[in-house]
Amino acid sequence: MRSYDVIVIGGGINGLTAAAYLAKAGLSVGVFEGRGQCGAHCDTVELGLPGFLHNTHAQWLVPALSPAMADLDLERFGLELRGTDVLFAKPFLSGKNVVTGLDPSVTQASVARASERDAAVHARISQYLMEHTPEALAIASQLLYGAPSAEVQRRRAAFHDGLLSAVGIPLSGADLQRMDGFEVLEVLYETEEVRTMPAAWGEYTGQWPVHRGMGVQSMDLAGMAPTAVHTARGGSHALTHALARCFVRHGGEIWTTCPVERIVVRDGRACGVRLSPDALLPNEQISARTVISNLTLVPTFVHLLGEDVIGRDWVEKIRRFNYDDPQLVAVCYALRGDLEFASARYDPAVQRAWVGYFGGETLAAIRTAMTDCLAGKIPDEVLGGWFMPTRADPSQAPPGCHTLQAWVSVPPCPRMWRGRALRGWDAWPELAEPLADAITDRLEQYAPGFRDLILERHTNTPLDAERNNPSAIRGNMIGGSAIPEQYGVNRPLPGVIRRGAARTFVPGLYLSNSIYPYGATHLASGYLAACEVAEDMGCREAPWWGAQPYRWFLENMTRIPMNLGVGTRGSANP
Amino acid sequence: MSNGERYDAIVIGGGPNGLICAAYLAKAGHKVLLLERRHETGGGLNTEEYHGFRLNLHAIYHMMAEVMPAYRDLDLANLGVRYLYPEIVAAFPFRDGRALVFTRDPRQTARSIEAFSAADAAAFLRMWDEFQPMLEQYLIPMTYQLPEPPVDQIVDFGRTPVGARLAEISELSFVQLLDGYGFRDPQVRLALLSFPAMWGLHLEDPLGFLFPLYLCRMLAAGLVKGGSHRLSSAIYRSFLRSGGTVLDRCEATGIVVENGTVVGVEVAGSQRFDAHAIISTLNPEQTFLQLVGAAALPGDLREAAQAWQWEERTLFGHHVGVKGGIRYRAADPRVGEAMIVFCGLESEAQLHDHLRRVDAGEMHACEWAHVTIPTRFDATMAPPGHDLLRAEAVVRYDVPWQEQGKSFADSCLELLQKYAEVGDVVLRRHHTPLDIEAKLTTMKRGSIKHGAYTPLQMGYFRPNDLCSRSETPIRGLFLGGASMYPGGMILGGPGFLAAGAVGEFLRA
Repeated sequence: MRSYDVIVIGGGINGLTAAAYLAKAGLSVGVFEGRGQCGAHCDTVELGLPGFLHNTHAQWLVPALSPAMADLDLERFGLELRGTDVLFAKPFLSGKNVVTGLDPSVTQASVARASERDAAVHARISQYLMEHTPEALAIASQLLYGAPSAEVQRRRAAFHDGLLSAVGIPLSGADLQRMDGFEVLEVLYETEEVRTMPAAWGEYTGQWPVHRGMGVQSMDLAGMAPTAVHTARGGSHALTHALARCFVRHGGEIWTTCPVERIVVRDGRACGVRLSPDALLPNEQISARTVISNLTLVPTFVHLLGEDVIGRDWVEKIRRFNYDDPQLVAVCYALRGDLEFASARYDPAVQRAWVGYFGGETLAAIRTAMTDCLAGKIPDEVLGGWFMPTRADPSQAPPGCHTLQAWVSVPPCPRMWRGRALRGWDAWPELAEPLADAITDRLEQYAPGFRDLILERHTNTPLDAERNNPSAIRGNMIGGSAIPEQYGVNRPLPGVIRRGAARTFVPGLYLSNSIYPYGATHLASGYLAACEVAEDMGCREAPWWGAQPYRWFLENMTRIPMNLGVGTRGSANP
Repeated sequence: MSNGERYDAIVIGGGPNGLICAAYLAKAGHKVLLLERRHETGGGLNTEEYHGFRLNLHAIYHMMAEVMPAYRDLDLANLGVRYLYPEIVAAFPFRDGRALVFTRDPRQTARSIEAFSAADAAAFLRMWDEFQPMLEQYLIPMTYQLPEPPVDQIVDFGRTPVGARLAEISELSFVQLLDGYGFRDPQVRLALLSFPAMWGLHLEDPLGFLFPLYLCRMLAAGLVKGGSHRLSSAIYRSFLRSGGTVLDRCEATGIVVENGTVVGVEVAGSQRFDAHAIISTLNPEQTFLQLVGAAALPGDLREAAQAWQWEERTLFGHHVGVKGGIRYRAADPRVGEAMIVFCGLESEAQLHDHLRRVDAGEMHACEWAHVTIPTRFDATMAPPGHDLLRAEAVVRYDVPWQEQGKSFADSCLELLQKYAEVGDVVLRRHHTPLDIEAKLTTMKRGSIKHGAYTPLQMGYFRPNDLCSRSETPIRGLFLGGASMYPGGMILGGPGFLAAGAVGEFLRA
C-alpha cells in the first residue's frame, strides 16, 4: 500500500503551499488532485484564440506578502511577478479618475485633484501609517498569517484609536468594529470619487463594506497604501507551477485525476484516504500519519467523512455552512490592442493601471448593488472590476494585443434581473450572454472604442466555476462565505477548529481551505496549515523556515519589473 | 550575452519528444535545460481544462502507448500515466443502419466484416496475421532504433521472409495493398483506408510499410486517463525529479555556432545559455534556417532544409460539452461504445472523392468526421452528468478559417446529429488549422507531424539523409522532434533516439 507522512487532498495553491513546506521540511508528502491539473483557482487557459492567456480565476496575485515567497524560494522555481506603477484606477463618467500608485505621492496627488479636504485626510492617514509602520505590519502579519485571536483584534482597535485621533475623526477603534464600511467612508471623505476607492477595493477582497463590522476593513483600506498588486509572467498559473515545481523538487508526489472519496479514520484518527472509482488509481487506499484537506468544509466533512465518523449533529450543522455570498460573472476578452479610457485626458495614469473598477460612482450605488446581491438580485447598474494583466506582462497575449477580464458581483442563485424573475442557480446558462453584453456596453461607456477591439470573449459564471472545481460550491472563490458568523475566530464554523487555525476536531485531520483567513493567493491558509502540521510532527524548526510576512514585498517591490506592456495601442485607438 | 551557466545539454521545445529527451538525459546525470516557448510544456499533448471539461485539442489516441520505451524507463506509471484501452476501437455506422465495428480482437472484427463480405473477412485475417510478425520483428523495434541507409535496410530486410515481404509492401500504396489482399467490399475498403486517411496521409503514396502500424497499432491505441496532457506532465515531473531545469515562456531565437560547433542558445531578450549539446525538436526550417541561420549552414544541409515539405492536409477540431447524453442511432449498440466513430462517408469511392475535394479546396462543410466521446471511458473528462465530444475532420490549410471556422464547426455538429441524438450543448470550442499553427509554431501550416509523410521525407530521409540519426553536420547539434525519424504521432521515437545519440556524444 502506498503511504506518506502527509496526504494533501486537493492541489490548489494553498494545498500545494502546505505540501511544499512539509516536503521541504523532510516529510514524505503526496498530493491528490481530482482535476487534471493542480491550481483550479490559480489557472491560466487558452480559452480560444491561441496566445491569449486568460486567468480564469485568480488574477491579482499577492504571494509577495507571503513568507512562502522567501521560504520556498518561489522565484527560483519560475515565479516572475510583474506589475504596473499605478496600482489601481477608477475612472468616472465625468471624465475624471482616481488612481493609487506604488509611490504614495501619486495617490496623494490624485486624491488632491478630487478634493483638498480629502487630500488632507488622506495625508494624515498616510503620515500616521508611515510613523507607525512596525506596529501596522505586526498587526497585518498577525491578521493574515497568524491564527485568529481576540488579542490581535484588541491590538488593531488600539491602533485605530491612535489613527482616528491623529486624523481628527471623532470615532474609536471599537466604533469601527460596530459600523459598516460605508458609514466609515462617509465620515472620512467628502467626495464620491475618493470614498468609492476603498469601497471598490473592499469588494475586490471579498469582505464587503456592506456588512456590519466591516468598518475596520474600510479604515484599513482608506489609506490606499501601496500593496502587492501583481500578475505573474505567463499568467496566474505560473504561481501554481512554481509551487508544484518546488514541491516535486523536494521529493513530493503529485497524483492528478485522483478524486478522493473517503478520508479513512481509524480509532478516531484520520489515517489515510480512499480514492474514487473514477480515479487514476481506482478505489486505492493510501495511508498517512496526517491528512490535510484543501477541499472546502462541506466536501471534507459531509462527503469524505460523513455521519458515521462525525455524527449526525455535525453533519447537519456543517451542511448549513454558507457558500451563498455573492460571486462573480467574469468576461474574458481577447483584444486587438489596448483600450483607452476617456478619463486618460484628465490623468493619463489610468492607462498605466492593470487593475481597476468601473461603475459604482457613488457609495450609494455600490451599497445598492451589494444589498441587491445579498437579496438575490443581480444589480441593475453594471459595476465591478477590470484587469488588464497584459499591461504588466505582455507575454499573456500576442504582440500588441491584450487580454482584459471584467467582472461583476452576482448572487449565486439569482432571483431577479432587470425586473425579470429568474430560476436561481439554474438560470446561468441563459444569463451568461446577456450579462456579458451588459458588461461590454458598460465598459464602452468608460472606454469608447472598446467594442471595436474585441476579437473574442468568454464568459465564466458561478456555474462554470463550480463545474470546474466541485469543492468550490456555488463557485465560491474563498472557501465559503466570509460572513460574520463564519469569519475570524468563528471560521469556518465554531467548534470545527480545535486549536490554532487548521487543526480540526478529528485528530490527524487539518484544513488548508475554508479556514482563517480565507482562500486567496496570499497563501495564508496553506501556510497556517503547514505551520501547525509541522509543529505537531516535530519539524517546524528548520533553519530555512522563518521568513516574515510582508518582508519579501517590502524588500523587493521596486525590483519587480513594471509597466512592460503599457503603451501598446490598438489600431482602433491610434 | 552568456549568462555564464553552462549545461551539458539544452533541449529546445517542451513537446513530448523534447520532454522525453530531456528526462532521459537528466536521469542519466546530465545537467539539462529545457526551453519552452509557451506557458505550458506538452506541445501536442495539450489538454485545456476549463468549466470542468478537459479538451484534448491535439493528440488523443496513442498508437504506441505503453510500448514506447519512455513509459517503462521513466516509470511513468508511478508518475500518473494510465492508458485506457477501449475494447471497441472504431465503428463505421452507415445510413442503411448497418455498422462495421473494429475491436482489439481481430477475430471479432472479422465477424463484423463478414456481415458485409465473407471474402473480405478472410482477407482481413490473412492480412492481420501477416502483419503481426512484421510489427514484432521490424516495425515496432525499428521505431526506437536509428534508421539505416536504404541499401543496408533492404539487405537487412532480405535476411528473413517476413522482412522480404515488408520490403515488398513498402513499395505499395495503401490502395494497392488492399487490392493485393483481395478486398472488394466498398464499405470495408472505406473503413480500412480510413485509418491512414484520418491522419491526412495520401492513399496513393507508396507508404505501404505504414499500413500495419496505422491499422494494427490504431486498433491497439490507448487514451490517456484524465487527458493527453497527463503524459507530458508525468515526463515533466520525471525531468524535475532528476534535477532538470524548465524555462517556460522562453523562446529560442538563435543557435550559436562557432567553428562548426554549437556554443549555446540565444533566447528572447538576447540572453544566451551555453551547452555542449543542443537538441532541437523544432522543424528543419526553424532549426536550420531560422535558429542557426542559412548563412552558417553547409550547402547541402541548407538545400535540404529549404526543400522541406509541409503536409497538404491538416485537421479541424470541434469540441462540444453536452448535458443530457449522446446516443448514436445505429442499431448496433457497439457503435456507442467505440473509441472512434467515423461519420459521413459510405464507400471507398466517396472517400477518394472527399479527399480530392479537400485538396482542391472544394469542401466548405464537414463531410467526414471521426468522433470520440472520451467521457464514455473516463468520467473525469467532464463534470458529473455531462459528456464531452470531439469531432475531427481532415481539411486543407488554405481556407479562410477565420471567417469559416464557426460555420464549419456548425456543420460538424450537424453531421454528427444525423448519426446521434445530442443533448443540450453547454460548451463549444473549435480549433482550426490556423489555431494549430499559432499555438504550436513548429506545426507550420497546421502540419501536425511537423512535415509531410512522403517517401522522400520518411525513414532514413526524415528530415534528410544528413540528420535522420539525430546528429547533424554541425557538431553538438542534434534533432529530436517529429520532423526526425521515425516521425510524429506521439510515438515517443525521436526524443528517445536523440537522448541516446546525445548521451553517447556527451560521454565521448
